[in-house]
Amino acid sequence: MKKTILLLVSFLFIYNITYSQNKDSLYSLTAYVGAGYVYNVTSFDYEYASLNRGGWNANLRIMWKPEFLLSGGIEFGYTGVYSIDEGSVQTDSGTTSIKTTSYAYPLMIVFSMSPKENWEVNFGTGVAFSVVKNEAFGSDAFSSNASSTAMISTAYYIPVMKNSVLGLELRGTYLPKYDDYLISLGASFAYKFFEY
Amino acid sequence: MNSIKKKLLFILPMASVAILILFTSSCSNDLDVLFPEWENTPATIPLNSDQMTRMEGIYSVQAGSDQFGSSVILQWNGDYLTVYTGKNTGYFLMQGGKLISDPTIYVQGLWRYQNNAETGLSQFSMTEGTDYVLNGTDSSSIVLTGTWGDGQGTPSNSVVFKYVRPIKPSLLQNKFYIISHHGSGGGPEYLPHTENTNEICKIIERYGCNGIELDVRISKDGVPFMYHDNTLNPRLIRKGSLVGTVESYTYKELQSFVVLKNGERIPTLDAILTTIVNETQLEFVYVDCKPSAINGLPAIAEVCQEARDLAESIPNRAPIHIYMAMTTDDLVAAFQLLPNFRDIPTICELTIDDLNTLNSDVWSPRFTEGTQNSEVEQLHSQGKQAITWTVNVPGLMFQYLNEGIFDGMLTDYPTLLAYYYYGQ
Repeated sequence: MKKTILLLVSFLFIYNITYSQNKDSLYSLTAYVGAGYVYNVTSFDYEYASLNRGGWNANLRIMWKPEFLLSGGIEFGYTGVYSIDEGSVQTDSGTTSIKTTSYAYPLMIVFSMSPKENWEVNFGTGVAFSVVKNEAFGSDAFSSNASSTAMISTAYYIPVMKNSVLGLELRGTYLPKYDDYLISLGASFAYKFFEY
Repeated sequence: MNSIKKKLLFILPMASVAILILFTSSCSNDLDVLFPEWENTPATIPLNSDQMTRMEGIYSVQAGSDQFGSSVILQWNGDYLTVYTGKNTGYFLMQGGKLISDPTIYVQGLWRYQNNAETGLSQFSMTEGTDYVLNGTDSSSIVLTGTWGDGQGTPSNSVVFKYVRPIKPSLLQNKFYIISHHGSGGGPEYLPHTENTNEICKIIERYGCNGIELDVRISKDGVPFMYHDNTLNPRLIRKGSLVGTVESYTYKELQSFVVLKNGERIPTLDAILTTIVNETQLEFVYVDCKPSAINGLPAIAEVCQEARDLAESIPNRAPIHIYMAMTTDDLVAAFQLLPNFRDIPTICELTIDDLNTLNSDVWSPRFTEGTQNSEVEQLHSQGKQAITWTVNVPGLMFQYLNEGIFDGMLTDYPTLLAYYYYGQ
């Protein structure tokens, strides 16, 4: 509840002070497509030798850019979280191989602003569908769960053709339910596909 | 326009950081509680049961009342002397006996507020009444004079307890169940071990409990195991390789790859009941069947019966009641498919009609339903019992003890419930 109230107050505050700006500006819808490398910086309490913190992520973001400085939109994506592939693990229940893959599909509301030309700062919060696949002791397990998530990112873009830009995005993502902190760096392409 | 831009440049990052902090803090329950330990322990001879009984009772706090309230209750639980205090859900846990080097009684240990992280070392010497406690020869007052400290530091603040009266014999004779909720290890009370583990069961009696509530689920391969939440999450486990719905995994996977908050492993129902029967004198076990237990009710019933049989085979083992708790309509319906289900000892958390259908021994309504004295009286007349869950508010504990006729309560704060119960 506190989170919702804080979000709402922040949004309304920003909305109010930015409202009544230049009425001649155009509204537009812009699609962002990004992909890159993600690294899990979480401190694990116990680590497997083969713990792989690296992976890839991708996202699609549709932003509504009004006449104000603040724009809003939604984002859907995929992010790797970690993986383990170990041939022999000694446990209290015996020796086994283990193959674990963890990834998530975040779905977020995103707010964005451009404090300087070509530069954007984004903040998003929403829900992440986290998945773990685990193979051990001859058994396959698949577990998925929805949990909250938040991300903050910054990107720098250069125009490449009419209505489109290409840039580099640095992003931090947090999955609080499972205590995963992810940092990613990737390319982002944006295309303004509708104006009115 | 520029000033708005500047404002937004400040506001957006700040709002982002604030929301991220909110996310982080709201999902963490780490109090970072210290459990201080004495480096040196003087040699003592343990007190016998008569000596312990003479020492137990209600004491007034002659010094240290700002910290611990105006009265405390001393009770031996095994070889631990527990002091229940009425302030900030506080307690002392101490060990000791008659000093070998000196004809006095000495105890040392720790004090704690259970509702925050404040704790420290403490020690007491019996400065009056030693002859009475040791030999029963002198009925003069008992005075315990000691010190309490902060954290691991040497205790230097004065505290004095003076005996006022014994605990009313009727309170000790009438069986009232002080039942630790989940084993009470993982909530705000922060005991040294994680809830629903063998380790917490071994120590929970020190906190005044004579009963324990545990949560059972069924693994992917049909093993009844102990875990409260639906998911593997940071409230209960250390960061590891598995996350998600707990029942998605086999017990071998859970046991091998999940480490609980305080380093323990997830136990089976069989292991935890064996520990309770063999290593404690707990008398009431409330096996709370979580929804997934619907897939393993026969297995749970079988394990509970094996534990009852084990308890009966142990000479001098206090009688133990092990009940399967039926918590949803679906569980009640599935339970009725078991052969002879009316003969299986159960607790019913639903209606009196459901209780009658299941022939449950115990009714367990939520505390928000009130004292419900007429219903409880009717159950008593049928030889059944009633307990309520989960009472953590001090005022309600006091009210239910004084106005209600329940046979016990589940709580996350057993020392506080013991304070109110034995202080009557």
